[in-house]
Amino acid sequence: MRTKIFVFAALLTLVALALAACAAPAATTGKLRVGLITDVGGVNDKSFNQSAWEGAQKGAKEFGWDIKFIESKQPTDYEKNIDQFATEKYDVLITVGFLMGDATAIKAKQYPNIKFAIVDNAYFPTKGVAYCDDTKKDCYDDGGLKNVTSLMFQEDQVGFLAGVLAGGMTKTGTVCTVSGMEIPPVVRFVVGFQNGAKWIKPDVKTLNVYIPSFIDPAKGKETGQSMIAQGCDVVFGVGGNTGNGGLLAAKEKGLMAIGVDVDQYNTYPEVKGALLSSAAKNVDAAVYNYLKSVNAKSSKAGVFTANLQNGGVGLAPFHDWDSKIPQTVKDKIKTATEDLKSGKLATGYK
Amino acid sequence: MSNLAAERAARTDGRATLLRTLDVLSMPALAMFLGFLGGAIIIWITSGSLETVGAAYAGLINGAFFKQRGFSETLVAMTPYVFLGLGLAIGFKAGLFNIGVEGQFYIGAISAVWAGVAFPGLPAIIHLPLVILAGALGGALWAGIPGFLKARTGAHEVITTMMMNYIAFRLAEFVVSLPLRDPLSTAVQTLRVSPNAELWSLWQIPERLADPLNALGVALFCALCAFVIVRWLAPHARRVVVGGIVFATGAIAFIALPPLVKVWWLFDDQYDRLHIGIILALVAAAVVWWLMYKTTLGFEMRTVGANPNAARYAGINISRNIIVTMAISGALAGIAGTIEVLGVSICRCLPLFFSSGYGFDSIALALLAKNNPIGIVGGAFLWGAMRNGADLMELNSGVSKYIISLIQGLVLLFVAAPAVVRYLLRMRAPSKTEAEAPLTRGWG
Repeated sequence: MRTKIFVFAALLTLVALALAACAAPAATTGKLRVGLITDVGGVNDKSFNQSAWEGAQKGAKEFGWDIKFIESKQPTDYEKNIDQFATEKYDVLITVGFLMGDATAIKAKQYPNIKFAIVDNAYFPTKGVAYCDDTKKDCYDDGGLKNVTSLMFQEDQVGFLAGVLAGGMTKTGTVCTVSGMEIPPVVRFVVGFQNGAKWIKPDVKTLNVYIPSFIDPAKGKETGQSMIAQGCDVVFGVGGNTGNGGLLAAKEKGLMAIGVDVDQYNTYPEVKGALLSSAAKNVDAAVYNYLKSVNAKSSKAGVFTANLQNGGVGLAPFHDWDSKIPQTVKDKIKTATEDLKSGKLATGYK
Repeated sequence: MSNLAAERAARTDGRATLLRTLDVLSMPALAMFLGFLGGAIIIWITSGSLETVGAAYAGLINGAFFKQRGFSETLVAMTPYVFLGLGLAIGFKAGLFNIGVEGQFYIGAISAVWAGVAFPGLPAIIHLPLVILAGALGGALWAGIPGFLKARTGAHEVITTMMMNYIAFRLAEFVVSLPLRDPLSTAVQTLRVSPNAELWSLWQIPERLADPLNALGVALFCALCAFVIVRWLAPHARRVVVGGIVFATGAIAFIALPPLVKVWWLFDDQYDRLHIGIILALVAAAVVWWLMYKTTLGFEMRTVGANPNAARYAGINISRNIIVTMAISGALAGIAGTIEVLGVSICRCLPLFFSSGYGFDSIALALLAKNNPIGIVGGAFLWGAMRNGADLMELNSGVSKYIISLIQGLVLLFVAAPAVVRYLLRMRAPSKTEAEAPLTRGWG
């Protein structure tokens, strides 16, 4: 009896698997197909990856394209996930995040007919890097990444404005950042923030901790709490879900917080009571504009930088805090914005 | 007449073996079946259409086996599972639950990177074994500490290995961000290991074998394999014969292989990530099987696992056994980390945040395979296929790839509770008492 059941179950499994394999749909329509590969944060990270996915969806919907995403579970998945789309004959691939730089470059050379856009990573000729060493003039047209567009952001500018806001609002004279991994976009935010705070309040004390993960809100919260214990009363969370932990720590203590990447008042309503504003980089707009240029067949390889001048970065609205932020602070932010735009003021990030 | 009887006896013997094999296989197979069935029901309920179930499983199978580079990627994903599963199985056999394989994986990775960076210029024939040894040693030391604590103080290994995990993660972060950090790279990652310490991708083999030293290494490896196979097939062969065969195999490999692979080699796709780690994994499975069932040490380990009191009464040194078992278990986990870093990691270095989840998946795997090394290879293949196929599944059907963890969880549930499966399928309980040791003993 037992053997029979076993045989029956095995047969059933085989039949099911065979049926499933036959049912594999091979959809090939004339529409362009867009794939998006997230970093380990995933499409619901309430900030950066989510914003990219929203921008991509908006573009795909408008132009009638197919769009899909794959989330990366670990760094060794990047290459494989790009390959999943490429071997399925996708036309445009968007890779989200600085950490995917190497994988994107290698795959872009492997698939020269696919258009790649990478958020947050620009390629520079570097000694010892196989895909673009220092004998090249630049990595895109000369170095062979002719199908890659880098979507960059001047995070230091908006970080600076967030710093001005924080420095203007702090009562204890200490502001802090709960940061994710120490990678250039995060460093730009942090450096800008600290210099902004010092610009409005030269004797302000700044604290910062880099946490080597973007998906560890528990550690972010713990870090936020320890900095609050050191007197910090405005927490700037820079680092996906890890930073969100810092915001939560501020909210629970009834202090002030500043979000990052998107207007976190909308994406992370749990902390909105504490949220002064968010240092937004409009990843969605950048991705959308890129897809628009693909649609117009005018997309180009190279670096596209979003900054205050072109509206690609900026402080989100103050929402509930609008009435509680003194006019003098608002004026200072306005001055800083103008001066950063005109180049009169530098953020201090090199 | 007697001839007939012998023939009949042989036939029933063969049938008995077949039935026994089926019997052993039936529970994991049924558990897999029920796991996938449960997954299908959940996909069906959440998506509301049977079509999605079909598309999901079709994507899973296609992605794991049929699409371009799909099968290689399955083997790539399977490799660490084999090592980690073996490591866990050795522990379970000796009654130890080494929940710290994930941490030992990291320590193995760090040690290997250090050895790969610290000795530039060594030829691969020395450097490659050296880095693997370093990885194994790192893992062994890391797992040896809980082993020692358990042997000396009775501290339960589940607690200590779990705590050691966190120490390992933070230690890895420290090493990556400070002492071994690549100063030129903007990303936080260690220096790249020397090219001679990298694990060879299969497509590289013709190029690698062009170096006579590498060819010599491969020839030595072939000769060793030949020695083992000859001794296994003909245990009483004369020394001269064995020596002759071994020498001939080595010589042929040394002379014929490099030109042969230059002319014809199966793997010419230089984007294929399959590497020689898979061969090492199979070798490791064979070695672990031999260790567990054919050596005194293995016998002692199994005896301690089955009944420590009887083992002590029989004069087996339990403390030593616990430490050695943990060290071997950790060494295997360390090699898994080594292989991921030297063979798969895109920078051939350890980047910050190298989380894999391999270690925790492997616990389920070892249970599914009932700690049998051959079963672990099979189970690792399945686990690798699921991990790899999940991406295409998500892509084609929109079903989240985390459903895989759910299916694995269900499988684990059914394996751990055979009574549930028997009840669900209305099967009789086996008539003989199960001759299995408890997987792990209670607290204290």
